[in-house]
Amino acid sequence: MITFDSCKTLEPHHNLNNAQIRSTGNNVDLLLEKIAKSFDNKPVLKGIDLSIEQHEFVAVLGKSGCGKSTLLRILGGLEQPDSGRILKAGKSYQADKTRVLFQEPRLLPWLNLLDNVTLALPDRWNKEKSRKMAHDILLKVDLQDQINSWPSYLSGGQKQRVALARALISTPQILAMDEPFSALDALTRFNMQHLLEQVWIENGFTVILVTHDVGEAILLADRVVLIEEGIITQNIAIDFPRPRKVRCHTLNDLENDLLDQLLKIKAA
Amino acid sequence: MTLLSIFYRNRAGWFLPAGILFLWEIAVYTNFISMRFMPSPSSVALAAMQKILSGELFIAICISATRAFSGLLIGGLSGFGLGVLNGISHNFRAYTDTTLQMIRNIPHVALIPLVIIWFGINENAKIFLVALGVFFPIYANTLLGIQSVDPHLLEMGFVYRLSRFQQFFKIMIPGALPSILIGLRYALGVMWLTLIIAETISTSAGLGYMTMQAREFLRIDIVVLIICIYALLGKLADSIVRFFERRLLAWHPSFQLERVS
Repeated sequence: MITFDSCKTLEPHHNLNNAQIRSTGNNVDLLLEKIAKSFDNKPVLKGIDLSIEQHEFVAVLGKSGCGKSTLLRILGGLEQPDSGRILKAGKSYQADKTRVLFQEPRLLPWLNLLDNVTLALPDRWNKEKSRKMAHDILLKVDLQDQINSWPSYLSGGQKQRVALARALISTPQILAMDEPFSALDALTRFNMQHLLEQVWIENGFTVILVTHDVGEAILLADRVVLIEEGIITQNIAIDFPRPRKVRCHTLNDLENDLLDQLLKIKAA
Repeated sequence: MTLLSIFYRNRAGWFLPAGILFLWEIAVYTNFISMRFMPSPSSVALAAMQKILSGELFIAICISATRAFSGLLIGGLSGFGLGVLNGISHNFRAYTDTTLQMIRNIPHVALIPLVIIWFGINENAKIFLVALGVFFPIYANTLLGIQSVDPHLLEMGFVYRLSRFQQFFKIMIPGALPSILIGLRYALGVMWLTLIIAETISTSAGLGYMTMQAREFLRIDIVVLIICIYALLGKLADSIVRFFERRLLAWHPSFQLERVS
């Protein structure tokens, strides 16, 4: 098989139980300690402990309602945790260098792509410079020709690419994503995953990807975190070389294991 | 895109009025309709010529339009301002909305006796009535527009650390604009209606005054002429708003569909 050699370094039976837990402490950039959050006295997060290294790609898996989106909203500054704390490089965490990519693109329909992308840019008053920046970032997502179009002319995948460009233009330290590709068709999703991996490698920010798609998590992430009923139950390093292929056997084994775990939660 | 081209685009809409005018002329000409009840279009046109040449019509239109637009400006701006305030501030709405809804349910024309006692029959009385009339459609639609701005977009603005100023001018106002413009178009209708009523009841100049005088002298052609002028002014004001709608809402998918078809 052509695709097999990309994962030949791995043992053929990669199992959840002997998957190595990534050792933490060396290069920890973002540290979440006992994060808890309730809505209407219903606990959603019951003490999340997580450390994330700089430039790490972490996928947060879980079934719907497990609290993974709440965790992301806390990181984006949209919610405050009831208890616990977040440290960034040892200091109290501020969300202002974090950009959130939502499930929907959330572009402003009355602004063209140029104005949408430069919306939050501090030098947007410098027309020359901001136009240049917008052009460069739209070039990355291959939409530079549509710079003067309104979002309503774009397809769903194109809109999500603009949203990605808008997040990237302000050089975020953390990119937090809430199932950003789940509304896209399979082919577009595949392209977007590839694009995301590319810009992540190029730009060196930290990615926290919330998803319910096990395949997506394994394809992209350095580490997969599984949240069950408000706590982290699995924290698995994925040390496969990149670029990863979808049809790789060892990846499939791991995917099956994780999927079994997820389905087990659902049955319980 | 000019106003004229909009006029041209809507040319289909003018066939019916032209046909009615033609039938009407024939009906009067053949004495099917008596001249005493209904002047023929040609006699109305003649009256129009007279009034235009004497300059009376122009002055009357200017006076009436000044009243109308002063009222629109005052009532519209305060309606817009309160709509925005109540749309943004929950507390402010809690305190004022009930009161405003109560006042809204009084037909503003019912206040004419009071207004005459307060202001007499001078300009202020008419401007006050027009302002009161246009206030509510603009207030209600601005409030509705601000409230219906997609909360997802506001959340996005928060995540991207937009200032309050930016949140307001980049997200709230553009998001509320379609609704605000609908309110404005509705308000224009109320504006002419209120003005006509106010001018018919008490006035010493303007289009309404011309109508009342013409009625006393049984100049039915002038009465009909002024009714036509009202129709034209109303249509003109509406066309201006539609023109701005097309310019300001060009991003809106429904306007793009119109452009394609």
